[in-house]
Amino acid sequence: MARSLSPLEVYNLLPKTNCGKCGEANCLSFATRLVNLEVEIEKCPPLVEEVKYRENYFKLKDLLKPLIREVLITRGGKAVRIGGEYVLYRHEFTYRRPTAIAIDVSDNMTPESIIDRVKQIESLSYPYIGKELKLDLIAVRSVTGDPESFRKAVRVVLGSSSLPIVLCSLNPDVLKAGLSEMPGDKPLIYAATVDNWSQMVELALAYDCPLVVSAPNNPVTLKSLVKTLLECGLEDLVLDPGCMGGEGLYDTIVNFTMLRKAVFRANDSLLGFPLLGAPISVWLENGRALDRKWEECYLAGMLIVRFADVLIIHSLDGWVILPLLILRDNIYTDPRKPVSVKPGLYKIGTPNESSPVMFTSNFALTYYTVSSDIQAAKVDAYLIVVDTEGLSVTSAVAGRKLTADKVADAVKESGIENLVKHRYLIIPGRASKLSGEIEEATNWKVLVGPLDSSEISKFLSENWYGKKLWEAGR
Amino acid sequence: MPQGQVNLIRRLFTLSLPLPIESYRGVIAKVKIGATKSEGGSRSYSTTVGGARTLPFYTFEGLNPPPVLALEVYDHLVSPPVGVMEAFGDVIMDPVEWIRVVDRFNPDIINLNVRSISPLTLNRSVKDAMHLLEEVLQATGRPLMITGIMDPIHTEDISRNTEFLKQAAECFKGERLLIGPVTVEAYETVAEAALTNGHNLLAKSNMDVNQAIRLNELLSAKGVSTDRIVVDVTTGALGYGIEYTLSTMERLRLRALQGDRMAGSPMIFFVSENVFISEFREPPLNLSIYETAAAVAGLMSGADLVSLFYVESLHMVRSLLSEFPWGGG
Repeated sequence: MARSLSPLEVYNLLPKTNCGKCGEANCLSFATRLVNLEVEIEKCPPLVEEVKYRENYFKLKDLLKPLIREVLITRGGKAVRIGGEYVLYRHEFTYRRPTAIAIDVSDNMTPESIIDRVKQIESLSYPYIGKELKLDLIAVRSVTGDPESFRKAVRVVLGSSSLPIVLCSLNPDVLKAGLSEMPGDKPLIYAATVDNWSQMVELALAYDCPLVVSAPNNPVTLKSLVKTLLECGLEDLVLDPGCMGGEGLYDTIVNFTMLRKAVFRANDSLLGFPLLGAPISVWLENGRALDRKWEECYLAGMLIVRFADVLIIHSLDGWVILPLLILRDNIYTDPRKPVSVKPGLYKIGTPNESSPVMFTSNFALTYYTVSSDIQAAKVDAYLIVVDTEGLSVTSAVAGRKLTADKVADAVKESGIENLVKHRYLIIPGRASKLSGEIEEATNWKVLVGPLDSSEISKFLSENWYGKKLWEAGR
Repeated sequence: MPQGQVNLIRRLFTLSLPLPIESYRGVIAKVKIGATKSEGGSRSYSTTVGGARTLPFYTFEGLNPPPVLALEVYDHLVSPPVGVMEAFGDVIMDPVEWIRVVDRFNPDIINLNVRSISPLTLNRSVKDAMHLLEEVLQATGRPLMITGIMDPIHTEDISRNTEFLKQAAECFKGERLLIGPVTVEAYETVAEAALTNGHNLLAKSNMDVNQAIRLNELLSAKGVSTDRIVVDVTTGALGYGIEYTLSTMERLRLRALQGDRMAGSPMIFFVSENVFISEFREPPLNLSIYETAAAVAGLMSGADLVSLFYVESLHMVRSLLSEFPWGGG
């Protein structure tokens, strides 16, 4: 789908009966939601079921298709989606499927060390604005070249983890040993090259799995391979244009950029597949492990910004992975929506029954600023985030998105009444004109906080800890 | 030879990949920072920021001039970020000594942030601040960026910041400093002082392309041209809203390349924000790699000047930039 697609174009292909079966008031509003990718076309039963609409259904399917094919890597009930992108730049619409990150294990490791590493990969998790940032895939690499060793390694991984898998070898026999261990799953197969492609095609067809096409630093060959593989009947391809640090960094970034731009600006649909980057390649160079980790981190960071849909990484240190997980999360945030955090109760530090209770808006930047100012003040507190539909406190008050009733509901739902023994609510200075109404609606005593959260520290020491208000109950 | 392979070879010869090259009408202005003795200042060299003709790292479309790297020094740090004492030692308590240390690591520019003038913090007098600047100009021959209160929201902060920047412009006439921030709310006095005394301006706006362009229009109406302005749309650190900055920079750059001259000033990215984050302490974070990751994202979104905190980040960013070909602009 080109981003210039208008709801009217879509509307013209819909039944135009306004039957309401999709849950929308009329076909035009369904069309608008389709263009915004908020609903699936299949939510329109007549279009799918009735023969007379069949042609339009397929036309719409085609019209709404992402320019970068969405590819699924599955295991059991888990699926990692990569690609499915509609735009070159994030601000043109939104990026949709966050770059999947795979960490490698290799078949020359002992079963114990594989299990250890797999457990580390699976348990790595950071809480971040109400979500858990985690790794997505395990890449099992053949370094021995021996099918039996590979089979054993795959078995150990399958036995100790539930994450979807990337199987890596350029030897079809080795891959076959791995694939035969996981019937029903769709691991990503790495990789078909100019040398092995015909056997790889057979494997991908036989096991019905997505296949990586690899042509390091040779986009023309890459494109030729894609054409060949499509002719062979494959559909789910992933492109590996090569990934090198150091002297190869320049070519790497150029190739990723060029391939993606060719799809979106030169309509080169043969290249409309997810891109795979392997920053792990920096470990081929010699030198200090610390330098390799730094290099792997910034190379992966560059590729997350510059269009990579899946990455294979070796470092597993938190200080390498965490910046990448956050960067990925940030880049894939929908810029069409105000960035908001989940409304609810947030604990800062380890608050207890005499800790201060404050509230703020759910506009993410407000929340970050306020929570980090409270942390900087080194106090333990409860922070209630009220749903202001992603608006800042000032805008929300002005737009009636922040009202006394909303605050009262938020206080009630938070369960804070059972967590503290006092009944004092500190409200943002910018919501001061609501103080009377809030007291009435919540039955809590209101303290008007500072206009700027940087003064929370000062405010609390004077008005909370100085007066020991909690001792009086209310 | 199997049949498929014959087929493949033929395809390799028949398929081609036309380069998706776009040509742009606009070019980014070049802002020269620092004046040498012969130019009426006291700097040992000057540095040029800007001059890009295409998007960053789109080298198949054309070569941009290399980004400029600044290191930051603060006249006052309330609570030093983790690792800062280890990295710099006691010198962070003395901005002049700190600048001498930073100077040895070869940044293109040094940014001195005189934050203590805020009436809400140390309330240091503008006169005292001028003494500090005098010593700083003695301590380093590098081009200088002088910044005051970075988020002038309160009236007191706004007027103090204006007073500080005006005085700095006058006291160091001819040094071709980069001074700021000026904002839509307060720019006139500082713009006049910069014009009269031959300095450049740091124009700050928040996550809004139109506001950034509007400020440039206001400044240009005052006689400050785009080649005297560095635009700052930094809104937050990695994990604290960096995506707003990245997309705003990308959009502003595209606007400029498409020919909107008022969008055509070079852009700065204050990566240093990233070392003042207070979350993500577990596991122990390496703040210089965190800063490097953020810097890389900013550079890929169009930053022409990045202001860094850690020497390690400067090394790392410089070494990765050295792997790319650059043009003269």
